[in-house]
Amino acid sequence: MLEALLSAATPFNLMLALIGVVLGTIIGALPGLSATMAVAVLVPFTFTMDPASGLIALGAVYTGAIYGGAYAAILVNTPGTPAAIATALDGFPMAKRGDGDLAVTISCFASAFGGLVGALALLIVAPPLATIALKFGPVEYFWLAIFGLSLIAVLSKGATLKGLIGGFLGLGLSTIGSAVVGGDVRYTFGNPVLLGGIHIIPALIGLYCVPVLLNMVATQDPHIERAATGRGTRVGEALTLMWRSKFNLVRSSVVGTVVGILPAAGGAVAGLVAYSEARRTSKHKDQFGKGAVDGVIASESANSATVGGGFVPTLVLGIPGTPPDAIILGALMVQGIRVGPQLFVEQASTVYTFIFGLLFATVLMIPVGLLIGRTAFRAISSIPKAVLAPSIGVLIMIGAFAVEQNPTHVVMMVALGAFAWILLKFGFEASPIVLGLILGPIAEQGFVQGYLIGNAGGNIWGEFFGRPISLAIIAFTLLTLLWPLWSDRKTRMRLKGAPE
Amino acid sequence: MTRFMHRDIAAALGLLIVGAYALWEAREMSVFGAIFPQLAGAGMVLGAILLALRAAIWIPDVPQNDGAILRPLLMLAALASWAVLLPILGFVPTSLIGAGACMLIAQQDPLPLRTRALHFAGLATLVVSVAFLFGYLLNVRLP
Amino acid sequence: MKTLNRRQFGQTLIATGAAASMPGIVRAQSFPSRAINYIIPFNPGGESDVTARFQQPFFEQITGQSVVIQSKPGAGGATAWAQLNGFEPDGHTIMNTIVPHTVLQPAMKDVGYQTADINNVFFFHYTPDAVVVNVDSPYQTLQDLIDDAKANPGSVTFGGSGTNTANHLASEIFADMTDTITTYIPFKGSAPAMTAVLGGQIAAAMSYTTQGVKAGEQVRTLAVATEERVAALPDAPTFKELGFDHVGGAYRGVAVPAGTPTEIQQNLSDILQQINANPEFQAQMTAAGYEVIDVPLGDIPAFIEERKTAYGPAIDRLKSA
Repeated sequence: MLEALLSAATPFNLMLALIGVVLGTIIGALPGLSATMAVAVLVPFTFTMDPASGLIALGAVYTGAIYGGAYAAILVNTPGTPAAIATALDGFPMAKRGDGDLAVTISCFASAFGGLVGALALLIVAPPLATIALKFGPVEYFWLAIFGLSLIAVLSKGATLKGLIGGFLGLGLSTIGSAVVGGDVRYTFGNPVLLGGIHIIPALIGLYCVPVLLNMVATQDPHIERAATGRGTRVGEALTLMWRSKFNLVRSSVVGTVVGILPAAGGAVAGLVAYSEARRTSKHKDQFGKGAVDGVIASESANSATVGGGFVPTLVLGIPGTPPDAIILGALMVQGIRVGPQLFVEQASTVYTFIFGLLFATVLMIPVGLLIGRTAFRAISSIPKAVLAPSIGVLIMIGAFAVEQNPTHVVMMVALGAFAWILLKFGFEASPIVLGLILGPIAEQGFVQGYLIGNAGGNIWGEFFGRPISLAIIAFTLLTLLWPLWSDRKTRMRLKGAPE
Repeated sequence: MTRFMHRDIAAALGLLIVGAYALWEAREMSVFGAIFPQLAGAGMVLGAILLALRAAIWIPDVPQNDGAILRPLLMLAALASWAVLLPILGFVPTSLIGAGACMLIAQQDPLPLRTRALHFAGLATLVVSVAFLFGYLLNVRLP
Repeated sequence: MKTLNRRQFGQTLIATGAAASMPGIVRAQSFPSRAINYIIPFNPGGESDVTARFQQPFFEQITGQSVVIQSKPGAGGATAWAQLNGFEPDGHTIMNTIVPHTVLQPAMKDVGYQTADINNVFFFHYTPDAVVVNVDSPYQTLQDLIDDAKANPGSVTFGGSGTNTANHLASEIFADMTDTITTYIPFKGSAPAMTAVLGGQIAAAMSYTTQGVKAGEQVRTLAVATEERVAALPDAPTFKELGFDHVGGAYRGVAVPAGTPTEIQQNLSDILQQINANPEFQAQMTAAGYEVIDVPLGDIPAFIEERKTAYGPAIDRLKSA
């Protein structure tokens, strides 16, 4: 262990961690460039390094990219990576009212904390934790997706019907393309690009960013409030706020670690589940969606914790926890490292050096994130709209194109953007649509696979309602949906009973 | 206010069409492939009906502020042509034109020519550096 | 056809030996003249991606040009294959292809391309089918599994990657040759199917040897679809040993857009054959569970026809299902 710690702390490895975090943060901040792509681009460079250093570089880029997604989410309302969807829900309202600097700083600390929790889990309890990945079968994923979808009802307070409709629209969009189960070619209009379905990244850019861009030019108001001068990065304020919601921070990091372990879930689900839980247990539910600090903390700590969590099944079982992990796993195979339960014994020095490197990278993220975040905030809040709007235009065009180097994705992005903008005029928000789009496939595959397995075993009901983890998720879903009703009633009763 | 009511009816109508189309197409799918398309289609149709019913009996008292409509539409047109021209003209030329157009659309007050030129120079730098970053460092084959 | 491969393999060694000594003749007209774009129609980290990355350094070493691996996943590969012929036909854009996918997909649904639209220049390996169960599974041998499936028709669940894929076809072929009824459960890729095996949600995976190798001691491979036992899985019997005539899997090749000049196609075929002949490359492939084969340009039409015939009955069954 100590040896591994020392070999992770060599100047070369620390430099790799630093460069990786900086590169990752910048790549993650650009809309359209996801952590997956950042890692994929870097893989060939790591072949010349020894395995531990290569892994440290990849892990650092990955950590940075997941965090970098927060900037675009907070400052432009465009989750740069799907993991930052829940960050935008409260981050952008914060930026709008002039707290963009605070939101960026808080997201940095929350990410670092979540990242540390995830990496420590990987360091200390990886082998037993990995079994969680195996406990989640198709049915559990189905219920997890339903739990995520229940967030629609919670998010769209006051416009529940429109929120639900948005969710169904998203579900409909998610069925476009060739079906994993059944093999049907659905709603593609003969377009080969649609055969692969609506790619999530151009969709995110279109649904979130294009309406922002169009509304930006509609008024003369500044895009986001400028910061009052002389406030710096508001580190003290951020730390005080974080201390106040320490339970939220720890809970969200644990949620992120566990969801990261689940191979079919990923950062977006982690952020949303943590957000939902933060909202349910908060004393100020009505603040969520309007710029609640707790929302940003929950989402960012959870999505960063998925990095360490995702490595758990990747290294222990050879099952990639997240899409970037799949690439890292491929890189390991090319380097001749056989992952699996024996890895922690046979390749202990490589593995522990890597984990310590990941921890260092996460710590390095704090100064890097604060510095880049401050620059990004200053730039976006001070650039005149006449420059900001076209700059965002350039970035979303290249972002949508770069995902798969396909011009059709750019057209799809603009079309979805126009769709979202029109829907916004009719009072429909983008978030329920995105939830449907992301969670739809998880729910569909889980449902059909669970049904087929249940049918083969002759017990479909038992398959869906007879498994302990499923029941726990169902209970949480009901709690999330019913809790607001109950607490509303309680408040009303208290008001009635209280003397005027 | 009545406009807002009509708006929901219009939305319901559009939704009904999309939902009905989804259901219609789902007829030919295999049993398992059709479950979620049918669910989504049925949800949309049901939502459309509820939305229309609600709009008929209940008029919300929130006036809707639309803001200007011309600039966003122009912006949308600029983005759409940008997307369509991208593979034809190549990334750098299209982006220079597109960014220039967006700049003119986003400009609310008359600015001195010098400032505009400076703004455009800044954008051109951004386009070129983005093209360099993606094209050379990230191995993205730009059109 | 397997024997054909074996024989060819020997010939290839001789041919590539000759080719290596006369590089100028093999690569006439200085092809490739710039970086090669190697499109993988699947997610990074999968078998297609991994084997392409195995090829990459050797390709660069032989040609002196860099190879850029680009992933365009979607619809089990169909998205990319449907776009193949839209790329510039100069040999600098090449695409990974898989048989049976490119035979099965157009036969089952309208996926935007036909089998004949794919201009393969070389098939470089196949990933053999394998039946994999959890190490704690009650099935010690393939016969245990078959007995259970016969006693309880439909109750044995086979997980695999997607619908109308190599795994799906293999599970049909398996049901056909063992005269059993099993339930096929499609997953989004071979890795999630293996996860379900490890988690005990499904009885077995109709997967690949590579997955059996990757999962190591957590699983038991009951049978592999090769001529002889796979070096990386010495304990797993072949279907032939067990009395079933089944050899095959996912045959991976490289295709070019329609209209690519024949000399360039031949050049590519030669380069890929040269890579296949490299012992270092072969060692990497074999260790991971892949079977290296050579199907050069001239043999492609016969190879595709032979495969089509082999898949015919199973495809008919899938269609009628």
